[in-house]
Amino acid sequence: MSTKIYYDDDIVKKFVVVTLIWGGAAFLFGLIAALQLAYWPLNLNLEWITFGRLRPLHTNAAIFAFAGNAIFAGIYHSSQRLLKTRMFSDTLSRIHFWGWQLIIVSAAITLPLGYTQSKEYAELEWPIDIAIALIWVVFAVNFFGTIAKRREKHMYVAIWFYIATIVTVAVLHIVNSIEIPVGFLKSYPVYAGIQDAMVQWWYGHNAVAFFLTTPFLGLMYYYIPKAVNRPVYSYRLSIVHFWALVFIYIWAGPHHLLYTSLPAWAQTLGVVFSVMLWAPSWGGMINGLLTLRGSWHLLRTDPIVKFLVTAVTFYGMSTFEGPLLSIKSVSALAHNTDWIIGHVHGGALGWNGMMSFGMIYYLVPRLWKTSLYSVALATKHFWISLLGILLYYISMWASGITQGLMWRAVDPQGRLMYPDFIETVVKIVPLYWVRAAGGLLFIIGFFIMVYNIIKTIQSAPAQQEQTPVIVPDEQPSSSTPDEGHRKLEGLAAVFTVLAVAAILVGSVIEIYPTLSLHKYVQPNKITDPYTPLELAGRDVYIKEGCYVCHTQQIRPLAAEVLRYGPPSTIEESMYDHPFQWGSKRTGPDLARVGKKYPDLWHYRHMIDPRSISAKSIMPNYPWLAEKKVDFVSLRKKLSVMKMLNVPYDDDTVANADIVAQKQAQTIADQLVTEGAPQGLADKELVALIAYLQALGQKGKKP
Amino acid sequence: MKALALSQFQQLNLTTAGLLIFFVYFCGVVWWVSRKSTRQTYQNLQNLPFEDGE
Repeated sequence: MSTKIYYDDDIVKKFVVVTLIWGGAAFLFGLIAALQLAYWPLNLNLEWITFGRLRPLHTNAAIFAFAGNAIFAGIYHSSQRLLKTRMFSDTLSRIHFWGWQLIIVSAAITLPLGYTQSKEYAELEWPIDIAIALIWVVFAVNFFGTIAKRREKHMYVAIWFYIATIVTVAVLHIVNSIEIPVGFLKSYPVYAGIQDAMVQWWYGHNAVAFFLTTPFLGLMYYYIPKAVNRPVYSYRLSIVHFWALVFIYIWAGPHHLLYTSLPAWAQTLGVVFSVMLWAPSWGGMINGLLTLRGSWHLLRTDPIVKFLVTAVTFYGMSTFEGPLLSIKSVSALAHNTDWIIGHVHGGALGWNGMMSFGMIYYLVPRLWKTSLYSVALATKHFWISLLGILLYYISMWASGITQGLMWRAVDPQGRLMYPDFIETVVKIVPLYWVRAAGGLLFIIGFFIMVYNIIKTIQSAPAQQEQTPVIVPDEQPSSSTPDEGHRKLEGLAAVFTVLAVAAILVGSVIEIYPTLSLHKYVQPNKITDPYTPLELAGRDVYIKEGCYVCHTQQIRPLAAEVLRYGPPSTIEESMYDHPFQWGSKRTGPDLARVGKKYPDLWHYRHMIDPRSISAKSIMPNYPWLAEKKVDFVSLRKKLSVMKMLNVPYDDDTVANADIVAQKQAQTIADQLVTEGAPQGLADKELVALIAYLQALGQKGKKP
Repeated sequence: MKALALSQFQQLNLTTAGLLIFFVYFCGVVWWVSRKSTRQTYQNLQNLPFEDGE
């Protein structure tokens, strides 16, 4: 028996087209951000495109708009074919598509306006978080509905990777986004300090694992065999690859927090599991590459194979480098430097980018029933992009290692050799130009592809008639007996439960203990909460994305203590909803910047950093001296903080705005006596100065 | 209960046992998928991408 069915290719076409549109946007934002680091005037004194706001827009666009839509295109295309059925519901497919695009548009509007939670790759504010959860559920229902009505009993390995992606991303997004709203587009996470850091990087690392790795591995297991017309090298290896990867990956998050005040046991777990990831990652890579056995000649002739094989090669390099960077002594050098930026772009451009491009070149001629407009142009795209990625990667290695070594350089007398942070920045600015050139090449290649794809679609027959395919009906009993894993493959629900169990083990063991923060806090070191004005200033710090370039976490390393002061403690960030530890030092650490400089220093530095440090690459923030502090919302903000167990007394909460205005007036008066202009008392700049002057000061008690 | 569980993290024999359990389990999975008798099944499975009717 066999049935005639129509695959829904229209939804795949839609996702392919938006992948190209958002990809262009994401790469352009990245290029502008790269140029801003090389040449600061490109911040244009405009708050909406200043680096601190543009960088989150770039990362969100690259991950969720470009890679996200590419994943959806591939999943909708391959799942229907592997499960031998049309998607469960065309309506759900369209709700998923339009809902996701709407989320992207709302991100593109709110991030430049400064609405952000400041949690990396989870910056979007609570109404958008809810929308993401809803649309993800729509996707899940549609996907599992398709599995339920499939005509193929066995689920191919790609389908498992998609299942793991869908359930894990849901868990990650929901747990990391638990927040209390204080306004329409403002919220505070329920977690603080080490809790927030642990939850955020459990999320952050697994966004890489389950949004940028497992779905792309599913695509690899489908599109490489299709492109070379050979089955995967070892199906057995793919089973081991899947379970090992899903179980181990979820534990790796704390490697983003090595040498911080996160408890040592959690750091150690993160290191051990990160190193273990070497094995399954390379097993998967080898499985992908060896699929080409006997077809290596295609690598010379077929641009699709070039893209796919290069993608898997970059997967191998990134998953070699990742565990390496997770080793504590390597992390001590590399963390907070451009090495990490190089590492993620090796993964994002090399693995996700090349994989998506290969898939698009494979899909478009088939979907539009035509042939590729120009194979030569596709080959040019490949070589230009590859050159671009290499320039990017190598310049960031050089930059990161150079700066990391300069930060830690100590002379025989035990003094820092480069005590002035700016010296280490000036040294690497030329490499920022090389990186921007690499990014430019990558974008040129991308636009060659867009041209090639447009010409291909234009050459397609006008009448895009849907042709049915004949698929055999599911045989009630196949030739092989149903036992063991083969039975499991038939039971989607059981399979999903096991996959969830695998990811929950690591999550619970790592996160649960850190939720009882009081166990780690020493009562005699408990700090005071921020004053209302400092809290308002902190929200300015968050809005402007200061955490994008400045950390607030001093590691217990000799050179770091010499440069910034004693290591950060758990108590110092215990009321930080959200934590502001940061992950990159384009500028110096600020954990103990409070009272280091007079208020006027900060005023001048924010208006024009060059007036303080001639070679600084920090943007100007002139609007902070013009925009007024939102004093009115402070009562609500403090009451939410109080609800989250920050010890404010009722009086301070009830009069938060008055208390803040009083403190602001004192600072503004002081600024005037030092030579600043009049009328700053109600401006954001004064609140920000109050916050900066409080950093590192809260733990000091007589 | 939780405090008790956390305090056991110090016990090397317990953590070692955990490591051994997972390692043995891993070896078991590898052995299990490599059994000779499953050859035909996996050959059928790996050909699924080519049976889409297109």
